[in-house]
Amino acid sequence: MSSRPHRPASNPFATRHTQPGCVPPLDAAGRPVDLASLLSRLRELGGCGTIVGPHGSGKTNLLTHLAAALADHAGSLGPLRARSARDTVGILKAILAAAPGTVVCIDSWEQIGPVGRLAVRVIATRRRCGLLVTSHVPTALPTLVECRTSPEILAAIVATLPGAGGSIAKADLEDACPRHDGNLRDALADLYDRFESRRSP
Amino acid sequence: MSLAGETPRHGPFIDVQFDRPGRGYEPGDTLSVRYDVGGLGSERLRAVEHSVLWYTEGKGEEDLWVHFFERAVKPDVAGSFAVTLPQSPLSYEGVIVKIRWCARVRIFFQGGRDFVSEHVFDVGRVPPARMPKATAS
Amino acid sequence: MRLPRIFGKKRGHRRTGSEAWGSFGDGLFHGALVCAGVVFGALLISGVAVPEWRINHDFIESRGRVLGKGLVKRTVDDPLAAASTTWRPTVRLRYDVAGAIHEAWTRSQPSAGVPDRAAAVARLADWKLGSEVPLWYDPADPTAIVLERGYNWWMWLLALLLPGALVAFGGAGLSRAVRRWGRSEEALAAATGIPGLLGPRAPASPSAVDLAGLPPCDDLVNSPGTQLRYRLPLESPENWTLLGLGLFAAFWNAVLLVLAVGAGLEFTSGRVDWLLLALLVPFIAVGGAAIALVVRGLVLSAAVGTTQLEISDHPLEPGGTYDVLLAQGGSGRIRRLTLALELVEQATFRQGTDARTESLVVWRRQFDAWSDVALLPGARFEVRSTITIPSDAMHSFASEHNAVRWRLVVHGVPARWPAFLRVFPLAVYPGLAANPRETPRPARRVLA
Repeated sequence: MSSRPHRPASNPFATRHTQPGCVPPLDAAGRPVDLASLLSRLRELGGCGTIVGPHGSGKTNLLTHLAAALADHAGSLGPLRARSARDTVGILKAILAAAPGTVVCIDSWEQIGPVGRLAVRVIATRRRCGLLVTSHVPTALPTLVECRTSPEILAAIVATLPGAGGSIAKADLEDACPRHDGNLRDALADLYDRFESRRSP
Repeated sequence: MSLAGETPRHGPFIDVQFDRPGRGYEPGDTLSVRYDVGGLGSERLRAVEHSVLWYTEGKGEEDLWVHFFERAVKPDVAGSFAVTLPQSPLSYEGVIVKIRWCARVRIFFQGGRDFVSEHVFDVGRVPPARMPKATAS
Repeated sequence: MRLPRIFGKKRGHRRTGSEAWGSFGDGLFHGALVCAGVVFGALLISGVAVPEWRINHDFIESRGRVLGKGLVKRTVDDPLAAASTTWRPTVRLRYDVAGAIHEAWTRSQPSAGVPDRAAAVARLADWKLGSEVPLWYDPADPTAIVLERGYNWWMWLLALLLPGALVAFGGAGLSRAVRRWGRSEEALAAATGIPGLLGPRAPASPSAVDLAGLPPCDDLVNSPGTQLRYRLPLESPENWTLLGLGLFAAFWNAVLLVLAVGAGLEFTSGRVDWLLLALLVPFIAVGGAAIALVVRGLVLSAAVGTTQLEISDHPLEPGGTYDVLLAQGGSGRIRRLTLALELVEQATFRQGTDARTESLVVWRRQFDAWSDVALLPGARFEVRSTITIPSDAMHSFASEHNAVRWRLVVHGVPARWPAFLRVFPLAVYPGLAANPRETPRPARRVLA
């Protein structure tokens, strides 16, 4: 009978550890984002705002953290994932079920189409709910924050992942970020592969 | 209770002991687990759930399947359970897909808050897969 | 006051927070739907269904003399549109109820009215003054009379369907919200069994053995082989690529045809839109290239011929050895033909705006290779081989976003055509024969 194989440590770049909500929201310099000031600005904007940024720039992650912070203060709903216009009904249903004053958080705002966006805005206004959304481009809602990526953010994220430092060197980070045009999600997937390839056989 | 030389723990903790020190099992084996809940302070327990489940880990989204589940609504700070393990899936250390078996103990406090502790074990003896040379960077 | 947390925080292997209030809003919404359905249903039943049912069951038949005729005018104010008016014919009758003479106008449901007054007047012609007609009166109120009985099935359908749908939809949501109230991820998963996540084992269903995570192999064992037990289905990426390319070429060239016909009609009428013609040139080039690629793929597929694999048993088991028959059709010469066994991992990640599926071959073993294979029209090249699944191999696995798949891959390099790759999926199940202990179904219970 074969001996029991050694169970390797978990890959620190696995989705489990890097999915939105698991890594801290960071600014372009790699410093933690001040969630309190963002929430304050969101209040100034009337509870409606857009997190704008390109693919893999941390929009969903920031939205997830803001939703959690809002839940502690005024109440939040979501983040609700929008994948197509068909998701509009589910989002409207969720807004109708939400208490007045709730900030409804929607990921990928542009996916639900112009009619869906209009319907969601009208219903949210009637329900006196806020709207916090993510989008690749500025929307009709005021821009709350623009997410940018940088090698510093990637380095700061990796520093928070336990066990990542052993196999991944600074050169890997400097290579992975520009290789994926700053897309942090793809860069982390790249680092996942590098980590796997360097495991002892 | 903290052991001598161990850093004192703040907040709730759950110590779990498997009946096999290496936590290695075969399909069809009986898994026996004992657990102790500590660090509760003034908080009172409302319920305790223990479960045996597998989940996936890797580059894909996490999938989860519960093989065994029990909920005690008159909980004690110590408990145990035993369950016969199924024929599949076996624990697997792939490259972009990993399958891990674990025992979870989740405690619920009177205020509604909960706390969960997860402990991985192995089912089967499948050797780890490795990144093919051609794609390794 | 601190509001309850809707989402729990996740920190590595430890998660804290309460999900109990997460389903409160959901429950409230669906509860409101149930209430709306009940109220709406009660209004329809009491206002429409019950009166109609009473007319057909309780009202007593009699006869009466027509004393007068008239129209009942009903105007409904609509805040969003002009007021609507309907006209309902009515007849005044004299009739006898247990020796007492009554006179009354007939009643009917508001829906009996028509918007056209002339039509309502025309209907009054059915009744002649002084004639005797059958009628039905309410024994509880003899002045309530009708001239017609029967059911308005559309109204009944409406009375049942609309409130029924509201109650069913709201009740299901409410029930789900109650089930989820304050329950953990494991409790929910244990209760629901994650439908759709896992498929059953196809060839046999050993009721006492738990085989979670194994993909079904129904499709792999439903075709008998000519020499070996099963013929394996083909899962060639080439076919899908060709199909996709074919659809693209058809769509592109259909659009192009419409534009070209428009330009041609203008040309025949003596007008030449040079700008449109200039724009059409690159479109024609793309359309032509797409057609050429599709034709090339089809010719290649026909020239190389079909590849078939048969196998001696299925599903496979780790450590098992199996006979494989490779049959290659077509004509010409294949410089090299190989048969390999592969293990592929597949992971799908959906987050934010991305949906990404990644596949990786993590293990590969070539079992046979043939050189200079001469293919004769009408006669397949057939050869037998043997494959062995490693004894410590991982079994096939499939969940919603992750999979571990086994497959046989035939790679050919024809002398005159580009190389081809044909993929045949396999199912490898854990060695139950070597470890036949039965596993009882897992316990899912609440301890008091």
